Amino acid sequence: MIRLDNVSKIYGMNNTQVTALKNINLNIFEGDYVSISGTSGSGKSTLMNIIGCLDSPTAGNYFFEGVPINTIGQSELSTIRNKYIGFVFQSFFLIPGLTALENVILPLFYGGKGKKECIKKAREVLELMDLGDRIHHDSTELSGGQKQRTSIARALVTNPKILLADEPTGNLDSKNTREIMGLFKDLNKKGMTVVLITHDERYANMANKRYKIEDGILQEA
Amino acid sequence: MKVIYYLKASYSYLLKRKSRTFLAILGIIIGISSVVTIIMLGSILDSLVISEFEKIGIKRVYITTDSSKELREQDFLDMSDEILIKKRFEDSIIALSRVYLQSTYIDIKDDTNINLMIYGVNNNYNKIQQIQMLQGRYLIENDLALKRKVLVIDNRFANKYFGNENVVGETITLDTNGIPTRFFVIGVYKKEDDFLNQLVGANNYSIAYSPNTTLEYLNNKDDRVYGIDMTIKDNVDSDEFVKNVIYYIESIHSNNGEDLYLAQNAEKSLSVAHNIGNMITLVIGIIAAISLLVGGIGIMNIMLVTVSERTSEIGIRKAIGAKNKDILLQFLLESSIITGIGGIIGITIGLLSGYMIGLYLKVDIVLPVVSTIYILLFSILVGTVFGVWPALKATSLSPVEALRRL
Repeated sequence: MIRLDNVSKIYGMNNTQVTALKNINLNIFEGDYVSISGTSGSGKSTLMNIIGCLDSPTAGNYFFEGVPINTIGQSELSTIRNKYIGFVFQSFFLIPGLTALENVILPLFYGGKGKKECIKKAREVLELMDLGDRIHHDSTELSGGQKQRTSIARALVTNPKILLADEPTGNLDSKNTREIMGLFKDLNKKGMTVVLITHDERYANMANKRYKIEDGILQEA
Repeated sequence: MKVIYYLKASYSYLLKRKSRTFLAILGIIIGISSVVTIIMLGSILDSLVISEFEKIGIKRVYITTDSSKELREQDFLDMSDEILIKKRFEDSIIALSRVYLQSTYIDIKDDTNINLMIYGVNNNYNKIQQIQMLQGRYLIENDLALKRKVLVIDNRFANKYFGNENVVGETITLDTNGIPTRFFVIGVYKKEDDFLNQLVGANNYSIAYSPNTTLEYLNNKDDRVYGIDMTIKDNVDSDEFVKNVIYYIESIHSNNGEDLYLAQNAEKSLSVAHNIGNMITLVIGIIAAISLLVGGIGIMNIMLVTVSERTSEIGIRKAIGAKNKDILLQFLLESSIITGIGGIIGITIGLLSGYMIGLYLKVDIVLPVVSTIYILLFSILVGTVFGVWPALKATSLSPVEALRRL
């Protein structure tokens, strides 16, 4: 589904260049549960950005469903992310001022869906996440675990092909962490492709394809 | 649904920063309330001018000789002019009177004096000039025929000279050609509160009316002001009429083209005053509009700050599928609505101020509905225009930059 072919990412110009990724080769297939672990500054977030079409490689090729990303314009990339990719971040990135329901509706809204459909789907997914009684709460009123589950609901609401999670449990306590990691495992069992970025070995090991990244170089673990 | 959706997040964001939002739109509020107040002042000024002219009479025409020119005996206007003009232009004239002016100073109790201006007129003069009688009566035909020594005085003069207003039948002694003559008061009229005169401070004179035949009889005609005062019909064009009357007078006196006669034409003066008023309103209005633009710069400033504070929000929206046009629309809507609200507040304040000034000056207010709508649209436009740059900055953020994280 996703293929990285000798992908490199270099920041800066001339004398102050930083090579975040060096010749990355990676294949992600449908149904995979991939984990990428590394320390801070290893390039794991940069890699996540590239996988998620948020950023493009400086060198090498990235193929999404066989289509090379450098042929796709900004607007279409937005559409691809909207339809096929679900993001879960460490700091949740919910929009304050909107309720849980409204946050989850957002991707459907940007995808041009009608009002009724948006609300129906968002409700369903929030109930799946056990947040049925919280849907009208402002996102700032939710607990950490609830926020993350809302964020996962938002990622899932468009039925994406792949779920990308960057340190999803970094801001959660151990109970919530276990719940969320269990959730990812469940989703993967039901067929969702999951890519997990983490620095915690325990959770990295829950995946069936494990990678390590250090100084921009990716290796199997 | 779309629009409301864009706005809900913005609304709560703004609400959290109430004082900052308020300061941002303060410029707009000040600008718009100034513009609206000035528009209302302009219309109040207009009303004031019209009501002053209505006291005189909009169709009033007054013709005199030009005293700055050298006048021979035959150039002066006299009784026969009055008769001839009246006959020749009877289709256009409602009422006409020759005016014979005598000015004297009358001593009153507290060691001061009042300048009493006696207008020698006919019994139709109250159809030309508004004279609101309080006591007694105005002049009648017989007063003129019999050259009666009678006076119609104003109530302020009556109070100052006699101490009260019930003075019909009382006498005043006037100097006519060196001879003291007793005049009887036959009527008292209401002295109008003259706003413009009050401004100028010309309040120490009083106008009284007496038969022109009487005054002419008692006085020497030399070096007295002579004029012909009239009210013409509504459907007659004042400028045309004045041209024709003067031409006619010149042909009677055989002094065509010598420009010896002056005409005061209320309609023309009113339109000049209108124009001056409009120009002043326009100039001041432009200055106020400039302050509105300054307010727009304030909005731009705030929106720039807003955008930089909300980079992660913009980033996540882009990550989950927002296109550039979605982000652009969101922020443009935000700035337009802020200024729209500022506009509504400004308009309300402006209308209230204008209304209160109107009340204070006792002038009727007309609500400028069309202008108000234009102003509201303009304020929204200012928000849109000044919000463009910040909105473009928002769209230029790449999701990677915007979602900077560890």
